[in-house]
Amino acid sequence: MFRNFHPTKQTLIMTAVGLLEANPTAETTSEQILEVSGISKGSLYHHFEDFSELMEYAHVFIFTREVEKSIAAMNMMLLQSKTREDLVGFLSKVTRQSQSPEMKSLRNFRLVTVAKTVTNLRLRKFLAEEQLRLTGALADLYREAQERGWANPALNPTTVAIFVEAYTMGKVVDEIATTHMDPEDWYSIVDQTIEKILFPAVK
Amino acid sequence: MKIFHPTKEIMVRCVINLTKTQGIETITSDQVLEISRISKGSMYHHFKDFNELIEVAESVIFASVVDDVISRLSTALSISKSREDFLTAIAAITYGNQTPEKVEDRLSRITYLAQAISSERMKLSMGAEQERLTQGIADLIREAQERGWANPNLNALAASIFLQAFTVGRVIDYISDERVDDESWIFLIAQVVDRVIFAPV
Repeated sequence: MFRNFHPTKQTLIMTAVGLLEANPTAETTSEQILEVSGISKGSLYHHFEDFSELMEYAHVFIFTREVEKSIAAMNMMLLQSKTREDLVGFLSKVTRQSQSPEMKSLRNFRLVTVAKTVTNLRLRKFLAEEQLRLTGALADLYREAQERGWANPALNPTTVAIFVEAYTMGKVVDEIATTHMDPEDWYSIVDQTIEKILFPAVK
Repeated sequence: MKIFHPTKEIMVRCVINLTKTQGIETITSDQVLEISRISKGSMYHHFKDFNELIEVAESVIFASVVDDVISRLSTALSISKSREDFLTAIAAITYGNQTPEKVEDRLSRITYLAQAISSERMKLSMGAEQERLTQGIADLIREAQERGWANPNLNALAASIFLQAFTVGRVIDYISDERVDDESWIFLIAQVVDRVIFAPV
């Protein structure tokens, strides 16, 4: 994702990623990043407009890597599935991982980053490329499942990809409120959507 | 609706009025002080900082959206005699919320949510409104379940979150200029509404 970046810029981003992952709830400061990376303050502000830009890149990096993991896992499932039932069973397991309460901080990162694109055009342009790539990869998987006759032929694969990404991120709505739903109830509604709409059994 | 001290009320109303002509993030404290004719000292007596005033205004705006959605949903339920009536009535609300004209609303909603994640203070004021919206939609689903118009194998609270999640989450599609066409989105949503959430018994 950062192949064209200057090595110093890459080092700073990866240092921020490391610190964010080591302690996702604590606030990462520029001092910490400079200390850990051994890079000078002047150099940081040469490569980034401000400290937030560096943190934005780190957030997008973590998010993209996680989504790539999910896509790789789904590709593997598609390869290992011999029937539609196999695939639906695998997807149900993925739901329990990607939508679990443990993934909360990742969802929050994702939402905060997306919200920043409303006013931050710099981030928007960067995120747009990543977003199209990820949506495209998910859509390809769905198209492949359609070709095998396991997915709903009436649905547009890109729309399905956006829909899945949308409810995964939008789950944040639950975290803002004061009482929370039971995760099992959520898995159940996602399972039913997968079973009845996205990958319906052929009658 | 919360009752504020009159000075507080004037300032909050002033911010809300300004949002009709400009983005909330572009409003400055000088602008608000000038239009409201309230002194700086008085502002900082009622609000810890200017950001708090903005946050309170955002919560009030969100609360009025919540009131609107809940009242439209209750109307839909009270005028419906059959599942078909009910689905037609809520289709108007659901699909109305998915139109391109609603893009701005969805973007502000996502901004509020992001603020609530980042600020405990915002979470406190937004959380109560979010709760009211989630419970309002869940009550409607529960009532529909009792009438046999909704899927009995779903938890009403989770279904309420699910409906809001994909509606809010669609902003992902607005980041780039290549967007899914609205027709294919509505087609998918209609199937989820019709055959998962409000699937007949």
